[in-house]
Amino acid sequence: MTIHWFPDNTVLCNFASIGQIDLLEQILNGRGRWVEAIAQEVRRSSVYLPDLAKVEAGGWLGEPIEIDEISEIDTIERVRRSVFGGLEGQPTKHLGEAQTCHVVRSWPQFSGSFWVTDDGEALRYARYQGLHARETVDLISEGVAFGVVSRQIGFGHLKAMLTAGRHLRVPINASHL
Amino acid sequence: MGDTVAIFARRGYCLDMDSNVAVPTRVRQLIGESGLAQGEFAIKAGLDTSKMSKSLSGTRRFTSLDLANIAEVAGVTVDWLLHGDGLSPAMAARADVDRGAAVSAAIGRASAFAQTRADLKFLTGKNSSWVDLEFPRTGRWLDQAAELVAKAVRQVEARGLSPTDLTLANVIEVVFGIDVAIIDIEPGCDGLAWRDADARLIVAATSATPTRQRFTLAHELGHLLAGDDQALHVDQQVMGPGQRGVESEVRANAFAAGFLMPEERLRAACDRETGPEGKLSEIAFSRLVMEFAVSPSAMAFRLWNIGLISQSERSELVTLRTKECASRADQAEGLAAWIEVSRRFRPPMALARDCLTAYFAGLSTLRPAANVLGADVEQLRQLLEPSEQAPMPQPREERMPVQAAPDESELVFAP
Repeated sequence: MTIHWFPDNTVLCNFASIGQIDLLEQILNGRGRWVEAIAQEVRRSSVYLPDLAKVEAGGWLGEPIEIDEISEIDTIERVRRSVFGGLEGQPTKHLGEAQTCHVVRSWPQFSGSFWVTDDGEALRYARYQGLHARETVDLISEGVAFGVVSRQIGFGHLKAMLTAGRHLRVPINASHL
Repeated sequence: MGDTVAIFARRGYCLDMDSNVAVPTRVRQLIGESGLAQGEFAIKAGLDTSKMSKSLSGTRRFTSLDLANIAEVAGVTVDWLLHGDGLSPAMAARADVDRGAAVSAAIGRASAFAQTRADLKFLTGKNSSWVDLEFPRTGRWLDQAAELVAKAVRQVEARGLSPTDLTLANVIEVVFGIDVAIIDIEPGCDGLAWRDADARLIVAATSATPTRQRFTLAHELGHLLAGDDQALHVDQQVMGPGQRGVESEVRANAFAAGFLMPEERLRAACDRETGPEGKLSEIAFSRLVMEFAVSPSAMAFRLWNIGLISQSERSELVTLRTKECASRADQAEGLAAWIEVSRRFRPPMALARDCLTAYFAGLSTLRPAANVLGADVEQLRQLLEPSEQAPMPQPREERMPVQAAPDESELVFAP
């Protein structure tokens, strides 16, 4: 069974910020997926990072996953507020996190999938909940492992993301990738 | 001014039997209220017009994102779209908007705190527990208040606390399990009491007049203990003239006076302060005001109500001001302490504690606690986990756990 990767908007923005969306596509190699709220966030972010438009146009994250079962929508809304601190009056804030968390936890076809985020709060929560969480640095490591990118160039991309003002964890040197 | 309003703010999480029909019905209602054509509404909400049409006709179901977008555009909540169960707290706030910005803002804050309490129940599966006091619900409202006061004071004293403690908000939270927040509210709203299936909450305004704030807290406690309204109770002016004719307000005010100045203790203090001629001097009266942390007028009426001073004495004493009492009793420092407490923002501490407990257990992120505390989440995390740049997970199974360094603020004995 394929293990899917669910990058959040910040991860996609990291790659877009250095013009490396195509690299992310190669690393994911058809394993990437996204939920509808993340797709909406990406559409909105593409105003500032035009490279993001390639994600939806390329279709390599698949059709945004829609959740239309009332009981699931109800659970997602409660998780959005109680876990991620979303406010009742701001219904789209943290919705992407709540939807992603829900499908990787509850949908059998996505069991064991990786939730990819650089948000420290989301990562900590995932660890406690036994969800498989990954960061941008792990995606680069994956690319190195499968020969999509060299260790030195991958490390350079991570440093470039930092230089571009992105917030992510970067190892102290390339050998840690 | 001085009037009150009760708004039905029931929460309910039972899904409708026919939610797949009810949700489109509610969306249609919102489209109608918006004054927009269906297509225009869809575009405004970021929905494909054909998807909107299919969802309204029942051939497609609204998705999680659709409902969030619709809720955002229409100013309702996703809960209301799903359940339509009475007014949501956010809607209650809007329903009260014509009562002024201060009231609306206060209800908005209360709504958020109450929502957090309900969400904690969802997260932990634990119900909140409150102290419920039995009291006769027949007879004179003043007598009901007296019975309620006696039982409430006993509860407080059983915990080794006193209604005269300056931090009355802490006393109410610890003894009665009621969340108490003291927040900045524009003039026009003294406070409110909120009661629903999951939350009991008092919100009072920060104030440079500590006696007013303490009376408000006690007044709202009276409403909650008496079970008034079973919903949201707003007091724009707890001591306003309009309150006098409303029976529940009479009871709440009588409760506040009796709770802040318990009769038995007040009589003992009066015996101690009364001179050999049997008269309470202004200095002695001032000492009572400072001891019980109430306004001179509240104290004068209380003493008169329980027969410790005459009407003419009351008329003289009621003209005194708090600062004069502090001066006469040589307790300017005490007055400064009152003011310092009453001006200070106080988040609902028990709610913050429960949010942090959920965070420590890994049930939530730190954001709900930060929301309650009014704190920046990054700063709060640095405070709680200063040894880490960020609380990172262990994405690779082979990574060994790292022993946390001691908090730099701790004193470590290392021989």
